[in-house]
Amino acid sequence: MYKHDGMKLKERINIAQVSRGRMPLILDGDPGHDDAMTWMLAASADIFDIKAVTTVAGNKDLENINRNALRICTLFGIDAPIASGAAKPMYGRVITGGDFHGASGLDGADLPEAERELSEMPAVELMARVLRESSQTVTIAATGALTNVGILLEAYPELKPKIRQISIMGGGIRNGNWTPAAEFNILVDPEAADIVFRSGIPIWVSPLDVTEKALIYPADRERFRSADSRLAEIIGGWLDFFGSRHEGMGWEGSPMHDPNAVMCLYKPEIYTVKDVYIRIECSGEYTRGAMIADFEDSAHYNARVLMDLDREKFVEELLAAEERYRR
Amino acid sequence: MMQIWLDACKEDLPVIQEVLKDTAEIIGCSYPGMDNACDVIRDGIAERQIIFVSAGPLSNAASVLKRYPSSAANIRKIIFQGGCLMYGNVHGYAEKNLYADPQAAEYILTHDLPVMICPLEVSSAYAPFTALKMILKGDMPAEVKVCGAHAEIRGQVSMGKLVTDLWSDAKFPLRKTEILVRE
Repeated sequence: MYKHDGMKLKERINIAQVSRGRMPLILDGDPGHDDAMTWMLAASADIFDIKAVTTVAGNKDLENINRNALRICTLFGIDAPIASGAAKPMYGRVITGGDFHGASGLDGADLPEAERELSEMPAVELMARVLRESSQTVTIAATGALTNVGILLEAYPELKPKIRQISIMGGGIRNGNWTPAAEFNILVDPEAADIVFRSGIPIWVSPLDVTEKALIYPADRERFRSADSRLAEIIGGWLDFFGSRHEGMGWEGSPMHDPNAVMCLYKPEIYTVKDVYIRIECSGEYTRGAMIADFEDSAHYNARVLMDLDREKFVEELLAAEERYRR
Repeated sequence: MMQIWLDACKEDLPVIQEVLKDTAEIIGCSYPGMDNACDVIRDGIAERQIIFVSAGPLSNAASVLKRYPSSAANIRKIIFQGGCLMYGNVHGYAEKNLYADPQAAEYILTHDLPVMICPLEVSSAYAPFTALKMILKGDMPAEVKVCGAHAEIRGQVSMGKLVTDLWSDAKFPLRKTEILVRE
């Protein structure tokens, strides 16, 4: 049974949406092409106050992820502290994405050298410090495995009231991707995801059900490459690499998964959402890592799930984010 | 005419007989909890080639194949109503028949015999045996896809979930189950 303080999910999410100036945000991910696009969105939208960036192994091993994170933060001018997080899932069964995002985990473009260094603090400690010191509640956008967030919730339960909401890219209700029933981020650390969904904190979910509709077609890639932006060549290169990966698997475009987790925080109107009771399966033979959803059990709703989106508006906003980085 | 063995359709038998009357011959039926179901089925299908149709839990189908494996030679195909593709009627994720006996379902899905699944989405859209009649006439009410399909028997919060690889990038190694999908 999931813990419930009696307040309905709708009320908690509505309270979370009351804005008081810029939204304090922690970015947690395993860059990754779509994590990088997400961080670009968060950094360029004048809505967020990025308090920390934390990395988690998943897409690739932590060394590659950290190198990518430092370069991305340099590129987008994110000056929040960057901390290295969990090298393996909470219960140690390691899965990586292999070379899906290339040998470096972020192939496709030459990035400028990183002018940033990792914080001395490990990720979970940095997240705790941000929560403790913030005068407002803090949003966490997690676009990789939920290991850091799971550990944070277990290690610092007294700081849970300081978390406004957690927005994740993960899971799939109709289907998985890495296995038939499970999506990669949740599969990498189902126990951590389970902790998140049991926490009582308002959760936004961008599952495959919406992200597989957030497609970037070759025609869209052209617009990113020829945009009036100093980033055009890099973003173009990333999207071409990502595109070739998916087209090789028979997709007509590439699903831009992660940016939905940040876009829904400030542009919820482009999405069709549903409130849901979500549980994470940790023990199934075919369903380990699967997101099990009950749309009817309103007494236990614990998440707001994006089910569909206006694809054109999604692409427009990503382009707008890229163009905010003019020469 | 095609010969059918009906399982778990006790209440609907007259309706089914009416619906199927020109298409198929119902040579016998069984139902869950029947005494000596295995013997009744084995004897009923002996020396015939039947299509085994189940509108309930797959308990009898699995039992007869385990107790009398040679009966498999008399069964051309198993068509069952069960499982759901997305929205279920048990705990939101599962369907009643599969949930009632997930082990039997997994046994049938991993058996060598050809299997066709008529999931909740299709069977609730069309009156169940109208769908079956159309299938038997070769006039599909919905698209038939071939996929890998399993019933989860070890899940803590997903017991009885029908897992298919219809839409996932990753596919099951063995893909031989037919399933009806609405357009």
